[in-house]
Amino acid sequence: MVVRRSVAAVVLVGLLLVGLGAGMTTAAPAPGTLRVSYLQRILSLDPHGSAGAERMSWIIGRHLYNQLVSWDYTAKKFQPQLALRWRNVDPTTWEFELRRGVKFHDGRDFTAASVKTSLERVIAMKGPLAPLFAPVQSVEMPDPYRVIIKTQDPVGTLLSSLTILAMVPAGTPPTPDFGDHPIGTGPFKFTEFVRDARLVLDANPNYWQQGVPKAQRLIFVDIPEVAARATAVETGEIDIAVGLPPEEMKRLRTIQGVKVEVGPTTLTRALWINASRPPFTDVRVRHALQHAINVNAITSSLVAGIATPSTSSIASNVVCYAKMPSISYDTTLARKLLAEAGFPRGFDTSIKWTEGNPKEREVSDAIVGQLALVGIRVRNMQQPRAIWLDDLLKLNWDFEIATTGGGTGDPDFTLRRLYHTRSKRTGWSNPEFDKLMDDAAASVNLQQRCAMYKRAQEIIWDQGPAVFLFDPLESYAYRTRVQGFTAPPAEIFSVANAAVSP
Amino acid sequence: MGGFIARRLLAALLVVWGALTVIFLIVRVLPGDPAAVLLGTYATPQLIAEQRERLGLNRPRAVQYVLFMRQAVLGDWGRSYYEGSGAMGLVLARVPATTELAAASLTLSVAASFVLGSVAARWAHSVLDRLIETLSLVAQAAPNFWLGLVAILIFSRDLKWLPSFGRGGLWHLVLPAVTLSMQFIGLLTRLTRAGILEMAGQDFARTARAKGLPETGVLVRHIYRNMLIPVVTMIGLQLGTLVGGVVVTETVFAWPGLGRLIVTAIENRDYPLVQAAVVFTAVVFVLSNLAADVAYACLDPRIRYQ
Repeated sequence: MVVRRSVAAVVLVGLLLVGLGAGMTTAAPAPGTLRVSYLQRILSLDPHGSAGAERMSWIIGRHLYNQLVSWDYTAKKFQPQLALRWRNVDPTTWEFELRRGVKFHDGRDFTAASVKTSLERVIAMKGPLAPLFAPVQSVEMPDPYRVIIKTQDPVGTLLSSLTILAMVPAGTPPTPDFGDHPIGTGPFKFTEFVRDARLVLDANPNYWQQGVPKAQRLIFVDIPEVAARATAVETGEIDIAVGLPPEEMKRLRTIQGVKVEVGPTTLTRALWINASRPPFTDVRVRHALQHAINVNAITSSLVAGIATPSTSSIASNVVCYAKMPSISYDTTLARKLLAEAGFPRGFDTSIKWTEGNPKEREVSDAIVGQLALVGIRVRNMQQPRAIWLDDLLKLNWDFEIATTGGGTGDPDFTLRRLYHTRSKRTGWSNPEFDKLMDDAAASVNLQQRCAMYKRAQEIIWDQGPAVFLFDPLESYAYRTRVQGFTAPPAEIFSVANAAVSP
Repeated sequence: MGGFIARRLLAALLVVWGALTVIFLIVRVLPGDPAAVLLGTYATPQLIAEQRERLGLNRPRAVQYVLFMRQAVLGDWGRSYYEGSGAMGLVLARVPATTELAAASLTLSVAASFVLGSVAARWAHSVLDRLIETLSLVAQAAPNFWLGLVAILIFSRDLKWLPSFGRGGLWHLVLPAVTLSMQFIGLLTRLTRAGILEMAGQDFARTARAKGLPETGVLVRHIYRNMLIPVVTMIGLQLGTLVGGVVVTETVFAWPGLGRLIVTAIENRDYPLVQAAVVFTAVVFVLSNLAADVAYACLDPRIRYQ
């Protein structure tokens, strides 16, 4: 009896819940609120610390903070941000004239002292950005709106490095607790950060640029599971979803109220070859690998719609990119080259990679399968990130799947940082390339630098320390109620110009 | 009883110290350098050396252990390598979210499995019993992440009844709690059913029937009390599985709880954070086992501790 009664009660409560549920629609957002879900979690809001080189830190940097200059991917030139004008007094001296009337979120003025603090802080924090600014020797302030940066040697990358250096208030100590209550001059100011859940930013009413930002509130929502992120934009629980795989993009394209776009990035996915280990010390083996991998097949099937085949060692929208001649997919030639190098029956090797980028597993599987066709037997080794990094940095690998680029959008950031002999990152060494890299980094003339980078790209393409696979595209799915948003020209972007209609 | 609890608490301290020592060693034996993970692919040998110095990883392990223990006794669990703030504070900040999820799914599991198990036992071998049996097997076998994703697709995307991610009001709790409880409902339902059927054949049940109690009365007054012991034991044991399930469920539903914190801390080789999280979990385990022991005594007057 009692059992039957309790069963009835459970059924009743269940029905009640369902009834309530049917009456409830998903929580409507406050008007003017823009909710964005990105593929990376937010590690820290401190722009200069150990998370300073994370893509997510740079994206937040475009909202909470400003930089002195920015790179215009369309016009291919630097544009003023907090610096209005700049010039080289001589190759080791840069003079910047600052924008007046800019205020930090706490009301303090942005002045030359803020620039000095920001530069000194990023060096003192010893994070991954520190090497970019290590050549800075002194920062002088002739008046509150004038800054003179002196470097030890001429530094051609200074402007592009400054595009990712967030300006913080003068006197900010080099300790990570700044990230708990970050203060910048950006279009949005800090409101709340719940780790692994959301970052809430509110519009900065005193922003120096008229009419920006368009949204009243910006929320970065953390949804780690990619299928759940796609569902959230479909149900309207978020407004913009970034980093979706091809199959989700295909499905979302058919959904009413959702728009889907892809945009370029500064990234390149490559198969790195450890040229310091035999048999890869032999350039013929590396050439054989270049011909044995069917880059077009991988790009058009596994990452269809979210990548284009690589045409150089840097992505096509990186500064000084030069298009290289295409390399034929030719297994006969590959076998011939291997035989010449003394491996007519191939050899055993392994490929190491970690999860983190879309379709990494599928790409590694394809590489293993394609190399088997020319007799190279590859062991496919997925590694946890910590172990992968350890092996990667110690050059304890034969093949690696590497995603390079990003950051400042400057070729130096990829080419010199990773392929210079001194960097010890790929095991490859080429004296002519090294000299070009050093000379280009020391030149403050962009045209001269580009000529050197073009030659450097030719050397890499020809010497094959890597098989360059594809330039990933970034995918964006957004609600049609978001206005003024289109796929940005690089993976680091701002949504300050996007508005939300109710 | 008081003496028993005091002795158990003393033993608990030993258990926690043991767990602490083991985890201290395990994280350091694991391959992977925290400094390298911290700096990511932008690491240079010089930066790694500077970070190792800053994090105190250059000292011998024995020195690190002594320093760590001394600070731990003083209540200082170190600072997270990644977040910069106190490790235990970061752990405690996640406790409400996970407690909410775990408590909700535990309540749901116990309530649902009691009702389902009782129904199945009351009408044993009927069609209803077979149906419940089959469903409970399916619920126990289905992986959490799959159930979660399917639940999101049905209840959030298609029916639009419930939010698909995040922590918020009661509605946000429904899908993760139901997903997490499925395995326990399956397990506990079958355990309850078996327990009831076993007790139903015992002498005391026959006596109760003989004195004229209706079958439902026998069930509620006599059988339930006697079958609670194995069920309570199982719930206590399953708390560990619950923590495992929490990790997956929290990721699928973007729930900012302890599970995700621990997993990312291990991935990042964030030693202080892993240590703080493990200590906290060890304390919770020891206390919940103690609570289960005390519960036995309350449930069954025959059990006494001295």
